Amino acid sequence: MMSTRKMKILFSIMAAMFLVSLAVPLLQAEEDEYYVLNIGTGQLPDVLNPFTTTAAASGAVIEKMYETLFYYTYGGEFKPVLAERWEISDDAKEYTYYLYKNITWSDGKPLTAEDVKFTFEMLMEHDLEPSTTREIEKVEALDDYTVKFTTKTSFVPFFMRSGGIYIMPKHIWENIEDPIAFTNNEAPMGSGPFVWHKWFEAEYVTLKKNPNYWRGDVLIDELNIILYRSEDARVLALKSGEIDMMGVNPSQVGTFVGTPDVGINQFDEHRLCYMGYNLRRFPFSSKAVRHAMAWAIDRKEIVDTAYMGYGTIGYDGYVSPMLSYFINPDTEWKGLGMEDEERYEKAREILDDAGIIDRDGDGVREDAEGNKCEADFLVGAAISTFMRWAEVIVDDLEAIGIKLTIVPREIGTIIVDVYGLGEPYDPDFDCYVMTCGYIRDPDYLYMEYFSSPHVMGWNGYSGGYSNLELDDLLIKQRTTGDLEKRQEYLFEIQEIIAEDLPALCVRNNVRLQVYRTDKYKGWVLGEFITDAYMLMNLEPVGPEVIVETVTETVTETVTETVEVEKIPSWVYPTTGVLAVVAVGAVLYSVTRRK
Amino acid sequence: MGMKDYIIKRSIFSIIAIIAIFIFNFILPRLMPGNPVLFVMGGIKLMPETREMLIKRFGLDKSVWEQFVAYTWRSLHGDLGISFSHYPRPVTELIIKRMPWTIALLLPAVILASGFGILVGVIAAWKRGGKFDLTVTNVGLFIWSLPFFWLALVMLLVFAYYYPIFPLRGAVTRGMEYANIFDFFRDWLWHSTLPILSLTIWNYAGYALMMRNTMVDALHEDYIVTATAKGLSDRAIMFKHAARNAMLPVVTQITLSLGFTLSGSIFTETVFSYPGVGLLTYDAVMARDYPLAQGVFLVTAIAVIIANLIADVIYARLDPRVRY
Repeated sequence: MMSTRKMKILFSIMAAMFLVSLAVPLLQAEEDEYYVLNIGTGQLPDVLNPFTTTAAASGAVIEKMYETLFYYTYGGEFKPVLAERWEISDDAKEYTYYLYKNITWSDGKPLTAEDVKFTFEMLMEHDLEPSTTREIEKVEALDDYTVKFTTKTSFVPFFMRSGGIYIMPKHIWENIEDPIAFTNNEAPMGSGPFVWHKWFEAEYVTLKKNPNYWRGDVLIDELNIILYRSEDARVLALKSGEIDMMGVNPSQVGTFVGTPDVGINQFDEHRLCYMGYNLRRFPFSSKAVRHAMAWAIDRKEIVDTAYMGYGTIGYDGYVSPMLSYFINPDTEWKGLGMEDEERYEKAREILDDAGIIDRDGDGVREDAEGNKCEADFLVGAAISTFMRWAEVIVDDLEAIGIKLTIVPREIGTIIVDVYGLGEPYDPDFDCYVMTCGYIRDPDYLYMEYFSSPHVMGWNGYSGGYSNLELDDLLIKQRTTGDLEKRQEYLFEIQEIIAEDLPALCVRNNVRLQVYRTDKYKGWVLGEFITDAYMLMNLEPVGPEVIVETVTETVTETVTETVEVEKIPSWVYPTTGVLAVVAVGAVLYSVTRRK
Repeated sequence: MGMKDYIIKRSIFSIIAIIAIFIFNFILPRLMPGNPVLFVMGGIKLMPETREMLIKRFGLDKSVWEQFVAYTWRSLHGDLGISFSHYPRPVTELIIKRMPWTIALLLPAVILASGFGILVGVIAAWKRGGKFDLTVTNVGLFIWSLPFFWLALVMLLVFAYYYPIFPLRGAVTRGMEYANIFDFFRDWLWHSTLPILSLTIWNYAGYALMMRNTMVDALHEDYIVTATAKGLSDRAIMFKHAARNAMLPVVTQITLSLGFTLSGSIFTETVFSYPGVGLLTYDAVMARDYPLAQGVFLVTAIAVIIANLIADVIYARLDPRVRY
């Protein structure tokens, strides 16, 4: 055992450490008229190369420092960013972008067509962003402010895809030897409203306003993106005012309802929740069964129970409200607003007409050959929301005589079975639930999901669906340069999908954000595809919140919320004295000799 | 067999253990279901060209043997590969950056927990059956049976939200510029108190309970009767005669539970958003980041084996019997 002397020293050191930590308030630098905005996140990015990063969180920082040619709003509009306007040739092979003439990088150098050309050529050279850049034949800078892309084939999705590429400064990136291995986290520089300031590994990222921002003044001086790895801690941080904004899950958003000075915003996201079928197997090979299921499954109840009412009800046309410009309203779910029994009756009618009836009286329907309407239903076991909506589906289908057995499985094994990663391709499943994310253009959703395998050489949906009429329309919509024509094709496509129902779109995901309204105003979350343009225009609510230091913010919000009180000043010295007494007592009892 | 032989023997065992772990470390993540490429992008559906590019970039197109040879060769050079989820940062760099934080968290926690655990256990055994003993035993059992992350969450809620004495997250204050090393240390300590405390409380209970039990046994030994007969003070009997002998199994327990404590650090660091290896491990597993998870497991396993080796040597010094 340790000698008492050593023990004494050890205890003294610990006591000293403890006292120091309690008694000394932290130093804070005082600054005036300085607007600070804090965002809480569960994942902190550490690589800011937009072309190679694999972390979803990186986008949240990159979008505030770099800009694209244009963006597509949640409202379904194309809004200019770097490109003031654009032209698409009728054969959908030439895309010309006219840049604003006053754009500068945050270091003051002008941003010109050369930078755009350089960025795309660099990507082509290193085969980065292949889904966009492999389509390009050549990029030309017609003058300082005009860029023309020529694609190898007629390919209109190139337009929206090119709009998602961040433009990099040529005078910096041309000196980088290997853009694939480049982390871009030392001194990233772009044209966006915020500039890089500081990064602390796994702690926070600090951005400052871009003093030379070409669109005008940025009101927020400092933007912090801070890691709170557990969602519970993040919720507490927002409630105490430590952070001003955070994303939140449907399961947690309830804790904010009715909280003073907290606003909640929901907006559509590029993600669908769907039920996938194996169309090679009965019962899903029967179109009647799929139609009956579309009637019977209560999509509204799924949104209400599994997602606390957050989300929109899926369309039969398998489209997300985010693509509002392309939505065919006729493919809306017809069962909305009907009573359960009413919908079940419709479903039973369809099945009866198709000759799928319960022949042996066990409550499960069979077709003429005696195949039972039974199937295994793969559900990601660790995902509680999936489990909940799977249960709704099972109950609804039982009512119409289709029996699904939930097989809870690890999501990774479901993917292996459904997507049959091995060669030869051999998917082994009946049905499953999953979410499907997609990029900005509807082409991605339809072409790569529902085209016959021979069209592209592969198929993103493993249900075994094929419809030649649809294939034809899919090709047409991606090769026409006429956006109105394209919209017509896409409407037709949705009608075919709503008729064939190769998969059932149950719900469209929403992004939920909560924000504090007591410090800043001007929250218009969801209007922009990036938050950067909204954040730069936030205004302080009143002069009293202008000066911010970390301690002041905390105490200020602390006095406002009801149950939490500011710590009185006597707590520190009292705790210190108590600690001394406690440590002293321990030392005394340990070291006392007879 | 002298002390030297004993150390050599233990070292050989440790090296064999490290080699075994090295091989397991390669095999285990590959037995996990699912394809890492699908998870890297956070989505199910990948365009074939993107998938192909990623598979190539991470060397997953090579055969398992080729992957193993490359893995061994690189590991011996201190190169644990490139992280999937932090691409293109090297795993070694990530671990080296995070390791000091975790050591700074675990070391005080283990020292405090074992110190208090042993002390309280000794006193409880001495006063066995009394109020103190009952309290220690029952509170100890209660704490020991708590789920650890729950304890950490409650501490966070109470001491960082309802009574915001300590911060909600992290290891440092955001945006702080430190005048000197003491400033930094103070800031770190303020942030680390809750994580250290929760780890300490959780570990303390196990040590206290074990110490109490072995101490009760020791107090029934003949040499205690002798010591009492010699007219020694209670305190001398308690600490010099009984506790020293009773401590041996507890020392073993402390070293054995190092791995356990490391797993505790995963929960602590996740709850308190503390930038250490525990958080890195959690993120690596969640993202199916094979190289990172492998790297973290390898480094922590080696660290635990070395800690056990050191403990064995200390133990041999404390108890000469094991050397023979």
